Amino acid sequence: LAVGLIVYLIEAMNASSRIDNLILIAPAVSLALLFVAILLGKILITRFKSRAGNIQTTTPATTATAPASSPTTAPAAGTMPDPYIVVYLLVFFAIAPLSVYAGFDVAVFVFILTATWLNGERRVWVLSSYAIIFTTVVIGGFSKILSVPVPTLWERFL
Amino acid sequence: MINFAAASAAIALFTHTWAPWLVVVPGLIIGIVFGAIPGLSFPIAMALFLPFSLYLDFVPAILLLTAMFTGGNFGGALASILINVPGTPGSDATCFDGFPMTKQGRHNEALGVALFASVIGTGISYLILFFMIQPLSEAVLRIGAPEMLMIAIWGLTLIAFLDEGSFLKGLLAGTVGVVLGTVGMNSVGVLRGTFGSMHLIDGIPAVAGLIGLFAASELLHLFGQNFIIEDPGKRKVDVRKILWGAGYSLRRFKTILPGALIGTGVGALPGVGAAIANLVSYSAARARSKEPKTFGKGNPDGVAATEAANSSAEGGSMATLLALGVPGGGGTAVMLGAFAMHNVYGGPRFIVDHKDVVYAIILGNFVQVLVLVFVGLALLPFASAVVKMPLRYLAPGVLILCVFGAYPITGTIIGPIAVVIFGLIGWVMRHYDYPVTAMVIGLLLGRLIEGEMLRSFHLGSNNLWIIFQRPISLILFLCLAATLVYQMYRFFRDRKKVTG
Repeated sequence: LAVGLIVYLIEAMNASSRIDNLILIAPAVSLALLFVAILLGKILITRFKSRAGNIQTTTPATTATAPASSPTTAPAAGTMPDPYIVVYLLVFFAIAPLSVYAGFDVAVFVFILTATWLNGERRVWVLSSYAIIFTTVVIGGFSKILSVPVPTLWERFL
Repeated sequence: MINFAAASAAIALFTHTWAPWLVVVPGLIIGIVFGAIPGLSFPIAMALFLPFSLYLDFVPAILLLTAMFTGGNFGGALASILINVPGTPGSDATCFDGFPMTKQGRHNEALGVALFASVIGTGISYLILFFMIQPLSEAVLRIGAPEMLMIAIWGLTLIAFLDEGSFLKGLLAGTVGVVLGTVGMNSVGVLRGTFGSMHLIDGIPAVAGLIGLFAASELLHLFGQNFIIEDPGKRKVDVRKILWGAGYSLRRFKTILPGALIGTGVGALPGVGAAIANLVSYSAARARSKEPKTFGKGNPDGVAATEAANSSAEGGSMATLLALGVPGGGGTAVMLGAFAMHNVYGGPRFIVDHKDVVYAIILGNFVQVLVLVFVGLALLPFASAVVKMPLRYLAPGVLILCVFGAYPITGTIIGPIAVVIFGLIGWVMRHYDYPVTAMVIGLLLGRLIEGEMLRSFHLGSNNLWIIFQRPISLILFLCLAATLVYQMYRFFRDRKKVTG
C-alpha cells in the first residue's frame, strides 16, 4: 500500500508539481503514509509481545490457564481463507475479462453456474436452468431497458 | 410567503379531474422496483417513462416522474437494508445500520423505520418548499466553493468516528479512499494516476466503487452461509414488526427532523444531493446520540436519520429545479427534460408567473407521500421475503446485478470492472478487519473536496483563508469544529470509563 501511495504521488508530481495539482494529493498521501507507519509499528509491537508471551506460556504451569486475551482467542480476521472462497474470488474476478472478450451473456452464465455450484448447489438441472433463466432475464431486460448497447456473444453471432 | 390565490388555483387543478391521481400509484411502484433492484435506479425509470409523459398534461407528467423519484428513494433503502446493496448513492449510509439489523433478524423493524422516515422526511422537505421556495433558492445562490468544501469535510469527519474495526485502520482506509478519489483529471486539467488509461480520465467511478466495496464484498463475504439470517425463526415476515418500525420513526421526530433539514438544505445544492446529505445526517445523528457506540451495529436511529435525509433531498433538489432551472442530479435532470418537452422552463420567472403550477407540484407530492405509506406497507412484506431466499441462489444473482448494474452508470465496461476490483479490495479489507465504510466515504468525497478546495484556493487569491472571510462558510466551520471537539471529548471520556 505504501509503495502504491508513493508511486501515485510521484506520478502526480510528474504530471504537475504546482500546488493546483497537489493541494489535496500531497497531504492525503502523507497522512496515509503516516498511518501505514503507525500501523506497521503497532503490528510489529503486537507480534513481538505475542512472541514473548508464547515463550512464557510454553512453561507447564501456564499453558493450562492461558489468559482470555492471549493470541489463541484473537478473531479469525487475517487467517488463511478456505480454498473454495479463493476459487469463488477467482471466478468473480473472471467476470471482468469474460465480459470484455466474450460478452456479458457468457460472463453472467459462467459466473452464475460456477458460483451457485461453489455455494453448494449440486443438482445439475437446477444449476443449468437457474443459469439459463437468470442470463436470459438479466441480459434481455438490460438490452431492452438500457439506452446503451449491451455487448453479448449472442449479438456477435447474429 | 404563501400566495393563497395561487394555492387555490393549484387545488382546483387537482379537483376538476382524476387524471393527476391515476399516475401516482404506478409511479411509486415503478420507482420502488427500480430503486430496489441493484443496477437499476429511479433516474433510469424516469428516463424510460419520459416519452410516455409527453402524452400527459404537464402536472400529471411531473407527478408521474416525482412519484418515481419518491418511490425510488425509498426503494433504495430496501436493497440497502435487506442485502447491503445501496440501491441509490443516497442510501449508502442506510446500509450502516440497516443491514446489521437484518442480520440480527430485525429486518421488518428496519423496513418500517425506513418507510416512515422516508415519508416524514419527504413530507417535511415539501413543507419547507411550500413555504420557503423563494428564500431557499436565494440561499442556494449564496453557497459557493468554501461552503461546499465545509459541507464535504463534514461528511468526511464521519470516518473518524465509525465504530467499525480499529480507529487507525479506519483513518487509513478513509485517507486511501480520498487519494483514490483524486485519480483522473482535476479541475485545472491535470491528469493523475491514470497511467495512460483514457478510461480513468473522469476518475474512478465512485458509485461503481461504492457498489463493489459495500455490496459485492459483503456478498462475497457471505460465502458458505445458507441464509442472510441464520436463525429460521427470525426470517419471518411480520407486519406487526414493520408497524413497530413505523411507530418508532414517528416517536423519533428529534432524529428525523434534523435529517430532513440537512437533506433539504444539502439536496438543494446542485451536484451534491442525497449522496452527501445522508452521510452528513448520519454523522450528525451519531454525534447527538446518547449511544453513539451502537451506530453501525443495528441502531434504528441510523436508518431513520439517513432515510429522512436522502428522501428530503428530493424536496431540496426540486427547489433548485423549479426556482433556478438547475438540476441537482440524475432524477431532476430527467425532470428538466420533461419540463422542456412541455415547453416549460424552470427559473425565477417560472415560480413568479406559474405559482399555481409550482404549488400544484408541491401539493401533489404531499398526497403522493401519503400514498407511499400504503403502497410501501403493501410491498414491504414481499420485499422482506428476500431473507428467506437461500444465499446459494441469492448471492451469485445479486453479485451479477451489482457488476452489470454499473454498466449503465458509466456507459462503458469500466463500471463493471470497477465493481469487480473494488469488490475484491473490499473482501480483503473485511478479511483483515479494515472498515470498508471509511474507504467508501473517502472515495465519494475525495473528488468533491479536491475540486471545492481548489476553487476556494483560487477564489481566495491562492490561499484558503477565504473560508473564514465568508459568513456561511465560517458558521459551517465553527459548527464542524464544535462537533469534532464534542465527539473527541466523548471518545476520550468513554475510553477513560472503559480503562478506568
